[in-house]
Amino acid sequence: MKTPTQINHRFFTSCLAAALALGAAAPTAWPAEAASPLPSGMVDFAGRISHNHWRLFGPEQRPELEALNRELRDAQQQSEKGADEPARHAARERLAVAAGLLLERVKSCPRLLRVDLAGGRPVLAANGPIELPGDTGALLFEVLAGGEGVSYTTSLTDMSQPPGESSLVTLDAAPGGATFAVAGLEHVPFGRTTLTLEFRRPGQSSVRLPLDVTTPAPGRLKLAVLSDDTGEPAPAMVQLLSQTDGSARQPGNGLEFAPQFDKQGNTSGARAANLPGPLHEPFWCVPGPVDMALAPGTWQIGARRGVEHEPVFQEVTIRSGQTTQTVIRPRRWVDMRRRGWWSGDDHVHSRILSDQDARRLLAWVEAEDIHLANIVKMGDIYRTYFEQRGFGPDYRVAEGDYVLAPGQECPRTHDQLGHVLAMDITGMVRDTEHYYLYDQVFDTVHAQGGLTGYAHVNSGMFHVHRDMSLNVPRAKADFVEILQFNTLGTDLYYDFLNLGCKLTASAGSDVPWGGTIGEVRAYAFLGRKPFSAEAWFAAFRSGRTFTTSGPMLEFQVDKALPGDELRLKSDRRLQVHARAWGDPKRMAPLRLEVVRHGAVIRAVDSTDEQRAEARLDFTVDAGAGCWLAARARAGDGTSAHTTPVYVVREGLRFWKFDGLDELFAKRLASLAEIEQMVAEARRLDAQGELGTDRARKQLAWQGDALLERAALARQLYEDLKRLAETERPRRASLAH
Amino acid sequence: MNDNVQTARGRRRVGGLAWPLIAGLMIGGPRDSAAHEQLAAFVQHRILLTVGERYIDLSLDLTFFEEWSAQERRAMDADGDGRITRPESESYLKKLAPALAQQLKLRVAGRELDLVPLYDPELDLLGSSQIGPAHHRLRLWFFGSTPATLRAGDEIVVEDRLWPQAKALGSLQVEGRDGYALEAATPGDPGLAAARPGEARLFHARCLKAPRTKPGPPSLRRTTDFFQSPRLPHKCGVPVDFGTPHLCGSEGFCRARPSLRL
Repeated sequence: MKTPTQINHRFFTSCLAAALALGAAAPTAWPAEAASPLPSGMVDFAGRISHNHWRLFGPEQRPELEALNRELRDAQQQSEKGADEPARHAARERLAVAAGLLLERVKSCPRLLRVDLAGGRPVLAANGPIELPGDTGALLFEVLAGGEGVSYTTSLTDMSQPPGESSLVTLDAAPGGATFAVAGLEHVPFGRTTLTLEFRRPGQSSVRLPLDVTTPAPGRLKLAVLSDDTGEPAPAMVQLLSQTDGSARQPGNGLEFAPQFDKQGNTSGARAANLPGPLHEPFWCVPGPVDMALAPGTWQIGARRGVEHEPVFQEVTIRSGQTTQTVIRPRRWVDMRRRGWWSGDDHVHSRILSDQDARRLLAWVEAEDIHLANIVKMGDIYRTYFEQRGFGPDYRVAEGDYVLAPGQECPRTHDQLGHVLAMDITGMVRDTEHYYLYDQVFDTVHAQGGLTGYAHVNSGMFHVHRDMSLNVPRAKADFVEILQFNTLGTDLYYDFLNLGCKLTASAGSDVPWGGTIGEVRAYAFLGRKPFSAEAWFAAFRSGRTFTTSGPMLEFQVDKALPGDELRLKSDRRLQVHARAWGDPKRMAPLRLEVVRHGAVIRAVDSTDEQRAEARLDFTVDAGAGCWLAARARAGDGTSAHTTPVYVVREGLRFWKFDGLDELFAKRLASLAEIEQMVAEARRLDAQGELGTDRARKQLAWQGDALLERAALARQLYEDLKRLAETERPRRASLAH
Repeated sequence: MNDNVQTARGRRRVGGLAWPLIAGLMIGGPRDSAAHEQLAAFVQHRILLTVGERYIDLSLDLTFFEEWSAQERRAMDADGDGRITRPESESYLKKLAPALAQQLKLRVAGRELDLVPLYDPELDLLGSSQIGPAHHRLRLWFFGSTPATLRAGDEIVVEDRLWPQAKALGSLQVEGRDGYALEAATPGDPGLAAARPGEARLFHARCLKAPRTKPGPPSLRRTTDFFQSPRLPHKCGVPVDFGTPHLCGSEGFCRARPSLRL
C-alpha cells in the first residue's frame, strides 16, 4: 500500500513560522478556537497531489506530500469529531500547521503557473510551452482573482474523449482571492497541443486562455517474454505501468476476448487476477513479442507465466525516437510436470467457434501455464452461452502440452439446486423438460465417459448443498470446486466427506467472472505418463488431485496418494508425509496442516523467511477408518488443499462416526428445502402467479420427479443411519 | 496510441466530501435481483489491511458484477443518454463518497478506530462507458492511527456495510510492517450474505506480532532522508548501504530500483 511516512514534530514546528508568514492561509486566518474555516477544496487537493500528481513536485517530495495529506485529513476529522474540546483544539492547531505547510509546498513548486484574472485583461504567465513528461501529466496553477482568501480545486481532462474537435480544459476557481488548481491531463497527443483553459468563477463569466503544452516524441518498446523451458518467446501475461503517471497501458498485441465472452462477466482483456498484492493489478495476455510506441519515461513491465513461475517486475526507460529492447525470462520456481503433476482449470467460459477463437484462448492458457482447460458452454433453463463447435476429442484444441477441452456448466439453477460442471464429454447434456433432475445429467455424462461435479462449492452459492444432498451420496458426482477467486471453502466438502462420500477436490477460475485463467487450479497426477487430455482426465477421475492458488502440496499416507483408498484389515500406524512449498519470494511464511475428518491433527509453520517450505512426517492410528488430507496457506493469502486419502477399515465406512447426527440433520434439512421449494412453485403455478417464469413453472411441473428423488435420498440417509447402528458394536470393540 | 490506454480511460476521481448522503443509492438493489441470485448479482469485496508503526491502512477494491454494475451505471448516467461521461461519473462519486466512509468500521481489540478517507474514490469502468450489464471497479482508501496498545493476539475486525443488499464475495488480505505480523481469518462462507439493517459483513484478522517498542513522540530527525538513514534490515535484496526504503517489506512493494536489488 502507500507510504507509512511520518511527519515529525520539529519538521512541522520549523514550518509553522513559514506558514504563519504566508498570510492568507496562516493559522490566524481561521483561529484555532473557532470552527476551522478551511480553504475550500484543500483536502481533496492534497489527496490528489499526493496520490496522482506528486511528480509535479519531484519524487523527493512525495513522502512529505503523502504525510501532509494524512495529517490534513486526520486533523480535519479530529477537529470535528474529537472526544472533547482540548482534543478538537489540538486538532485544529495541527490542521493549521498542515494547511500552512501545504500552501508553502504549493507556492514553492517550480512548476506553478500564475494566472491573473484580477486585472482588466487576464494574464497567464508561462514562458513558452509547458513540457509534459509523457502523454499524461498535470498543470499547477495559482489563479488570482483579487481580494483575500485561498481555495483549492482539481480537475482531470481525458483528451482522448474531447467534446468534438476540442482541447478544452476547465477549472473552477473561487470568485476572489487565490485559487490553487491542479489540472490532470490524460492521453495528450504527441507533440504540441494548444489547450484552451477555461476558468469558471461563480457569478462571473468564464475566462478562456490558451496554453501550449508539448509531449515528447514517443519511443519504441520491443519486449519479448521467454519461456524458461525453451528460452523462446512465449505467450505471457504482461503489464505496462507508466511510472510517470501511474496508469497502465494495453500492450500493442494485448488480446481482447470480449466477443468470445458473449457480453458476460468482465469482458475486458485487462485481467486483474484474484491473487494478492501487485498480481491483482491488470495484466494483458500477449501471444508473442510486443512491439509498440510508448511515451518516453520510466515504465514498469510486469510479466507472469502462471503460478509455477516467479512474476517479474522490471523497470525500463523509453527514450524519444529510440527503441528499447527488453527480454524477460520468468524463472520457474517449480516444475510440477517433472513431478508428474499437470495443471488444469475446470471452469473457463469462452466461445470457440473458429480457429481464431481457439488461438486466442490457447495463448491465454499458455500464458498462464494451464495444461488442461475445461472450456465450458454455459446453460440455464432458457438458453445457452459460450457456444462450442462441438464436444469430444475431435473438438479439443491442442498446442504442445496445452489443451482446450470443451465441457459444460449446465444445469444451472440459481435459487434452487446450484450449478453443475461436466468435463470430457462428447455432447452437451441439457434437457429443459427435466432440468431439475440433475442425476439424469450426471448419468448421461458418465455414459459418455465424462466427469461430473459441482461448481462454487467453496462458497456454497446457489444452494448447491441441496442437489449435493440428493446426489452425492448416490455417487453421482465426481468432483467439487473448493477453490475459486482465491478463496478456499471446505465446509460443504468436509460435510460430505464426513458422511463417507468420496469427492475429488477441484478448482476453477470461472473466467470471465473470475480474474484470469489458472488463478486457481487443480493439479492431476499423471506420474510418468506423457501428458494428454485423456491421461489428465484419467488421473483426475482417480481423484489424484490437489487444488491451489499458490503453494504446492505433496501428500502421501503410506504409499497412497490423494484419491487413493487404503483398505486395512486391522488397525495399524500409518505413515503420513505432507509437504507444502511455495514461491520463495512471495509465499513465506507458510502453514501446512494435515486434517482428519476435517480437524487439524498436525500443523507446522515454515521457519525460514527465505524459504516457503514446511513438512510433516508422522504416524497416526488408522483407527476405524477416516479420510486424511493436507492443506496449506501461504503468507500472501494463497492456499492449497488435496483430495483426501481414504483410509477404509474392512467392513466400515470411512465417515466421521461421532458427528453423524449433525451431518444427517443438515442433509435432511436440505431435502426439506427442496420439498418446500417444489411446494411453493406448485402453489404459485396453481394460482397462476408464475406468468412467464419458466424456471419455476418447470420446477412445478417437474416437481413429482424431484420429490421422488428427495424421497430416495431420505431413504438413503435412513439406510446410512441403520448402517451406523450396525457399525456401532464393532467400532466400540475397536476402540477397546 | 490512445487505444492502448486502459486504466486511465476508465478511471474517475472525485473531490468533495461535504455532499449529502445518498443512502438510497446504496440500499436499493437491482430491479430483478430479488428473483434470483446469479453470480451476476454479486459484488466482490477485496479488502487489504496494512498495519504499520503509525497507521493502519484499509483499502477496498469493489468489483460490481453485471446486475449491480448495471444499476450503478444507471445512477451514473445522469442525462440518460446511455453513455457515462467523465463529469457524470465524477458527480456520481462525489455524491457517493461521504456515504462510503460511514459504511465502514474498523475495530481493533474491540475498540472502534476512527477511519479517515486517504484519497478520493476511483472508478474504473473496465473499458465500457455504456450503461447496462458490465463490470466496474471502485477503489477506496482509508486510514487510521495505529493504537499504541495494539498487541499480539488482538483481533482486528473490518465491518463492511457497503451495498448491504448485494450478496458479496469477500476476501481479506493483510500485511504487517514495522515489526507487525498479521493473520487473516479465513471466512467460513466467502459468499457473504447480504447485510441486514444494522448488520455488517465481518472480516477478521489477528495481530500475531507487535514490535516491542511502540512509536513514541515523533522523531526529531527527518525520517524521509531515505539514503542517509542508518542501515536497516532488508527483504528485497537491496544492498544495505543504500539505506532501507520505507516501503521495503516484500519484493512487490519495494520501491527500490530493480538495478539495486540482488
